[in-house]
Amino acid sequence: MLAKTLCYALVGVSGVPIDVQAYVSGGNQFQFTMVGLPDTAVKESRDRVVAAIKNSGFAMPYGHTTVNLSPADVKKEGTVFDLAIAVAIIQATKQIKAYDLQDTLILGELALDGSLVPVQGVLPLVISAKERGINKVLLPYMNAPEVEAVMGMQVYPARNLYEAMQHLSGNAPILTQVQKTYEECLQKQQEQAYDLSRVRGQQQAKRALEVAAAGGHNILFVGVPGSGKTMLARCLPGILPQMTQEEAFETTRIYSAAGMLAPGTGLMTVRPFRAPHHTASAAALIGGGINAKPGEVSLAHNGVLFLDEMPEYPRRVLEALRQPLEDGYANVSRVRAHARYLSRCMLVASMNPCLCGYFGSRTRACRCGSRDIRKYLDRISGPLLDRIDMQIEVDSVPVEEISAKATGEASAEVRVRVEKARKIQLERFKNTNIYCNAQMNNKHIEQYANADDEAMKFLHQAIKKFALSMRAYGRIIKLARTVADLKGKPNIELADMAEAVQFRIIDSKYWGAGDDITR
Amino acid sequence: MISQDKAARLWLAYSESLTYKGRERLIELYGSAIDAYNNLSSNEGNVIGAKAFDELISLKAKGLDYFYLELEKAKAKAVFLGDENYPYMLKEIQDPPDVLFYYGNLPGDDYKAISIVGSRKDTRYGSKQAFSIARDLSLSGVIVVSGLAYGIDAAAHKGVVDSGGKTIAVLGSGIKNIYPKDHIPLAREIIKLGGAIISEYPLYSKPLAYHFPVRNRIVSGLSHGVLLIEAREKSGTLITVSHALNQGREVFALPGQVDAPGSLIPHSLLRDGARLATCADDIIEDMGWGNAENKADNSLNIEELNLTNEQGKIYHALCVDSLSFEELLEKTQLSASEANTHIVIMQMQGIIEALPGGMYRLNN
Repeated sequence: MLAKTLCYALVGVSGVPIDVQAYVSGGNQFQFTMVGLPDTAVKESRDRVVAAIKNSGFAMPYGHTTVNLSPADVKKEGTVFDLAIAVAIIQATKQIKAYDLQDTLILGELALDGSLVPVQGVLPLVISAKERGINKVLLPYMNAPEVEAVMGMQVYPARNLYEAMQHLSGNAPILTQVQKTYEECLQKQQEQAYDLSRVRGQQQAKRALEVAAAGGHNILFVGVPGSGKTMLARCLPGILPQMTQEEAFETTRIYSAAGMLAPGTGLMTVRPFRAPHHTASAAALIGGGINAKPGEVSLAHNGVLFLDEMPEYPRRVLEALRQPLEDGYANVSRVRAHARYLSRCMLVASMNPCLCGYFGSRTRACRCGSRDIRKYLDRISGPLLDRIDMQIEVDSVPVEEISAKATGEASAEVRVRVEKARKIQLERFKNTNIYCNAQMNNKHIEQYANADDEAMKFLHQAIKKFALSMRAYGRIIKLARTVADLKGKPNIELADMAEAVQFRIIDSKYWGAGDDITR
Repeated sequence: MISQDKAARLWLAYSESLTYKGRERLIELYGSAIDAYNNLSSNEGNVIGAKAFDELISLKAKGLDYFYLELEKAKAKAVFLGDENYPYMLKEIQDPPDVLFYYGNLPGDDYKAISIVGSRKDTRYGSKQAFSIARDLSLSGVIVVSGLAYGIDAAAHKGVVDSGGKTIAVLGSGIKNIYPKDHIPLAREIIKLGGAIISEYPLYSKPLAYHFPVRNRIVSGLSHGVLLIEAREKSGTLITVSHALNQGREVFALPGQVDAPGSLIPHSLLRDGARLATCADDIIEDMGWGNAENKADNSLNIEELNLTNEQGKIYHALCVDSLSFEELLEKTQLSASEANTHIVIMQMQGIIEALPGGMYRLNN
């Protein structure tokens, strides 16, 4: 009268095995208890399971039914255990003889009529199970596309409890889902609403965007209102390179764990573009909540985190971004849960040069005093600014000139060059765990930068001349590496280094480490 | 030890609420400060006001030595009207302060001084000009006087400090209570370089709002001319200008961008006959302190510069006017990547300068 099934519980972005044990003892009173640290949604599963079993042509046993989710010290949440519990109860009452229960991962939520409802976190659970040698999974039909690219996993998608039981008993086996390779998963790049060809003029900003996309660098646009900062940022997804298989899995895992993957969708192959509003809290950006859910910085992993009007974000929130940006992961600790989420995203930010917005404008006089300007700029702290590889001034194009300016290249053309540069980087970093130049640490820089002596000498002079920090030093080398990659050159030459410096020196012009007469 | 009379004058100066007029009336009535100290009668409450009278009585209770010892304790100095080292320009004004408290060194007996005043809400243009004009004046041996406030004042002091010269800051608070506090390091720098921090208010006096217009007469009084850089409506700097006119000082104004908020007042002064100043030499020449023929020849010669072909194009494009990046590309037909590279190299060589708003110009 005892039966066990296998399920996995989600902890952060990985799964831990949970033994679902059902024991039915004799008696003529109907009793059903569930033990093993279940949360509210799991406790409710008792009612769903009872109804689903009865409505699928099975009987709920009389007597005392005890379900134990073991190990008991792992906090279980969500509805993913429903199917495993129902199967265990049916098996324990010997209504059907099932096989392979210890080798098959069983996931899914039950509706009252016995049909299966998709659940969160299927991809991370399946990946974790596979790492532990489980290679069969029974799951809701709608969750199946999510795991279609997990190599070596036999996936059995079921529509309802009855189908699941028929499969497990061998009476009517479900066909394994056809496995897809990553290339087959790649969706056709979506048509982008914003295309670089529609941005007139702005060649410096466009060039900067190309370099940023090629090397995955953080970038800050500074410019007067209406100069097109936001539009430029929105063009970025259209020129970003395709995600690699590893990147796609990493990102999809986070989305799946956060419950943000629409049911029925497969692996995410398009880089995410996250644009949280400036009223977002630190927890929303970094991750948090009772269950330590991933924040925007992790949802943008391998993609773009766009902060429009950066000084409007509360200082505390911006400062909290520093560590995830630097380390590439966010540790989220809450009373009930601890999790580490990857957060290697490109930070793209925009801001006005001052409160009234017109400092440096040629069309309108700025109304701000120099102390006001400094106060405004100081909302972005030096350390945070240091972590932004590129700072670009966006030129304000007078309205009458807009129509006169030539339209530039289309995003697709730029993307070809970006892809080429990124391929060089993937080749370079194939024995490491990073994918692009921006992710290099000091050791990687030493190993891969390949800068000419002349270029390094130039950099040293520039550091002195523009009063740049040591962190800027490393960032400029990384930038120069990307500039050289775009040209397909093995070495960083003086010209590459100089262009990299150009992308980095407006902070000395605005934040003014050099001439401090206005303070 | 100082004389009994001077000690009594310190006693009067230590009173916060005794007005300039009230002090004059007392001296008139008693003949001298020491007599006033010895014979102060309760009738005087009607003459100088009850508040001032009460204050004088309570100060008197501390004894005559107290004031001098207090000064010594603070390592501060005081100069009295009539003393040899009392600034000679200040002596001539209608209402010179009887006692000046100061740190540092007062100017010598034959000094030249210009005060630079302007808005606390300065623009970058204004503070940059204040800085460089003050520095150049100082390099020509002129003492720069200002008020240690934010904005133009601070920029002027910093310009002098940059040149290592002497500047005088006149405070609207006591010299032991420097306002604004952010400028304490600057004040220290000023004293170190042989300048002075001056106030007519008692050592620990607060920076009360009504101090500042009164203080401004000392700013203009100490100097031979006043340079106005940026002022917004209802600006305290206008008070300094009217003091300067009353005291017969020369008034200079620096022109600004026509539609900038700080330009209105300087421009209307210029229309009313103030002298136009664009650099230190303008002022030195107008004051008759020497001719400006020794202006350095700053013109760059392109043959002397070692420019590549691309850099030459950029140089020539910028010869006419300052340009944005976009315009530079149009004129030079370089790619964005090439232009980025060469702009940085030319900036490093000090040939061109980047301006806020993404503009570039030749460095002069």
